[in-house]
Amino acid sequence: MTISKPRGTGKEEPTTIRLSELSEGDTGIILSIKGGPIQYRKRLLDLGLIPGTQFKIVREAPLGDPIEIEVKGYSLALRRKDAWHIIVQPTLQKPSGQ
Amino acid sequence: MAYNSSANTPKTVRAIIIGNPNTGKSAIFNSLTRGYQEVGNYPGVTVERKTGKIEINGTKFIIEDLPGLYSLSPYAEEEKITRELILNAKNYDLIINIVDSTNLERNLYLTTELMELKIPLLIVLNMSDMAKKRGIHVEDKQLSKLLNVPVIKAVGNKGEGIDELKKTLSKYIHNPQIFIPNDVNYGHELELIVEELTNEIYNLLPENEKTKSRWFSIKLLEKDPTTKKDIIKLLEPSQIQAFEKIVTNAIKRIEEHEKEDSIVTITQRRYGYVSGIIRQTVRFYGESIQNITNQIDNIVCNKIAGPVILICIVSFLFFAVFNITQEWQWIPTPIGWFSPVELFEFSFEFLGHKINFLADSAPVLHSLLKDGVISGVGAVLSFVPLIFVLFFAISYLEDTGYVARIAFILDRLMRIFGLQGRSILALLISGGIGAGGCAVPGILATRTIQQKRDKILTILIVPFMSCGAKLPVYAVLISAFFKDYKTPVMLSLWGISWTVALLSAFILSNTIFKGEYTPFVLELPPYHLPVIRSVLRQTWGRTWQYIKKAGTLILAVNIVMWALIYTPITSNTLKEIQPNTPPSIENSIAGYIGKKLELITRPIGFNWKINVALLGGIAAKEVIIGTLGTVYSVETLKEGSTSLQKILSNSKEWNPILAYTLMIFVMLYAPCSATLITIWRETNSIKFPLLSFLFSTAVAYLGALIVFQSCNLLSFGT
Repeated sequence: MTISKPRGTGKEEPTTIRLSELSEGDTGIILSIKGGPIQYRKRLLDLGLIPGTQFKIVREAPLGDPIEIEVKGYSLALRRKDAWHIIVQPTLQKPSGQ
Repeated sequence: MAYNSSANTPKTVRAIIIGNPNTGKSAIFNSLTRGYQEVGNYPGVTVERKTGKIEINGTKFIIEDLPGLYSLSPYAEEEKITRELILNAKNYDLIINIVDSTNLERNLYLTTELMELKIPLLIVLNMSDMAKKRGIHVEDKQLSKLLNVPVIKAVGNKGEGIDELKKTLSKYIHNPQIFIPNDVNYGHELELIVEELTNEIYNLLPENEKTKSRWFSIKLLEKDPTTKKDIIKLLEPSQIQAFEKIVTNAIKRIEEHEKEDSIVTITQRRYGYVSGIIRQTVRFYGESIQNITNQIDNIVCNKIAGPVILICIVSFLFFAVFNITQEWQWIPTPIGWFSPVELFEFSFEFLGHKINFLADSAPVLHSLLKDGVISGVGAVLSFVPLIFVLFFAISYLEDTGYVARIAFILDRLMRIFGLQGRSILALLISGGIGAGGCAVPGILATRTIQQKRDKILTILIVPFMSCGAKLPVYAVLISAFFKDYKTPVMLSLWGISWTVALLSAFILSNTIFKGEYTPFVLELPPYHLPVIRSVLRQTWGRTWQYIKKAGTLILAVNIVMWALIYTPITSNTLKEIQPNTPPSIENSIAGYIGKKLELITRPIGFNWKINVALLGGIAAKEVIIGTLGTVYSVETLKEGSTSLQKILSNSKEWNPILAYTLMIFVMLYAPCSATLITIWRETNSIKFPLLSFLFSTAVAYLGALIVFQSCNLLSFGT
């Protein structure tokens, strides 16, 4: 998992993790959507990807991309390069899952 | 607003059906308007318009089913148009909002946006049987009370709740006010800002737009660029500066208060409102039954099984469609069994014979009717079985939810070429499998592609596939010149058509279509079994629209082509149009053009006779072999192919290199008139058929030039 420092100045922020960096079976909470065309940000918000929303990466397409996430009870497919704009906080999972 | 409570005369009520995609809108629409339905287009746009008429207690209702959308902030092209139709309240009186009961949160989000329009609204909780199975119980009466609009539970595909829906609709005539929704509450501090902005906008707006003030304000706080443009259009130039300032101030206040982008705040509050409504009206009981869709997807989207299943389903579909329409002779007639396409062909041949009595008395009229009109109408109608069955298959597959999975599985692969997963369907239908196909339904299949750029790219490369009408050309030329190499030559043609198509897409997407990337957002809806009756009705509506719109144009093109071939250039050759003697093509306008074209086609080895055949091929590719036969004066058409092969293989003008070059050219050059007209219809712009025509012909010429010159160079002296 690549972890990059946020570009913001000043306050101490936790390291930024992007949705595109997670893999199949990971879960987490959406923190914000940064960058990308404004219509795209608005569309994701309209689809319920608002801060605080829980998600799960259900699966990857056979070629590894796009990814399918489950959010608000339905499934959404996003390309990894577009999912990069979604800042998330992964939740720890019990290893019993697999 | 269009509803008239004052007038006593019963008038027609117009209602529009709106909802998220995959909520079963069409099922409700079909159950509601069982008697009458029409598929068309909105003037000037390519969005499909489905209209139905019903009468309830003496009041006429016109119901329109609009394409699905997620919110009133449009993303795809189709949504932009749908949004405009919704905002233009002059078009209708009442909104019927279809809500998927199994996915309430996201569906009610759209409802909140519709509520803000302050247009009479009615909510249908569809798929309530599925909701029950999943342990979701919605208190419809409570929901109705909270939103202040009628709420009806329904199961669209079983027709449940439709009577109740009709009963509620009938109340509209005398009680339109019971359909006016409440305001969405944005929470205390935010409401103050919203209200202030609403008042200011109210003062600025012209009289007839004032009812939308609150909706406008909220959209402005969402920084929706389209709304801003719409409002500026309504204002006096002197007001614009004040307007901009008011909006900027309001947004600043929210962002300072919330420490968050106002787009996020507004969306979040709206979802908050929806959550509140759900808490008060929905009970979840028991464990939800296991998710069948997820289990299917575990197999269907599996890394190994997924692609295999995809190939199986698509090839099954493809072979079924082409066998049902062309191969299997399953229609009984007094004179034997026919396939649908054969039946059409036979009927037109029969019709052609019927007018033989004209041949002596009025040869020109006879020729016009037989070769211009009848074969023209035949060209249109011969597509009908194919289009009908393909439309059915695609609509059915789309309704099951599998097409979204095709897009998901193939996205990574097709993206390399600047295309998307859905493009593959169009390419296969157009002949990508190598066993026939047709570009007309292929282009119609691009309707499922939401992104305009990807759709246009797909449309431009679809004609490169070897459709069923190009196969006879290959067949004649291969058996005349490549008798011993049938399979490798066919395989090479198949490979070349895919290479050219994908390479063109790659080049176009990195040149003239560069920089138009829209991020890909795709819902993977739950699987379900479509209602065949409803798919059939929709399919028939679409097919009929094709016959009406494309048919007339294809007929016109056919008559023009007829005139080109049959009009002699000098008046003394007029008497050559005689029965039993083939008209002298050499002296016709087409012959003249063909000869002039030799100037350009000499580097690829084509003489005027080939040029005339290729010109004819622009009307329909089927014409090529027939015209070649006529110009090489083959005696009878019955044995056309065999004797033409002999003539060509014995002719000094021909050799295998020319034959191969011609096959490449036929594969790639200008699409037939039916395809061009379909492109025009689907893109609603003359620009794209013209682009397709020029682009394909340029690629064909280049390909032919490379093949012809390099082969001649290599075989120099032999």
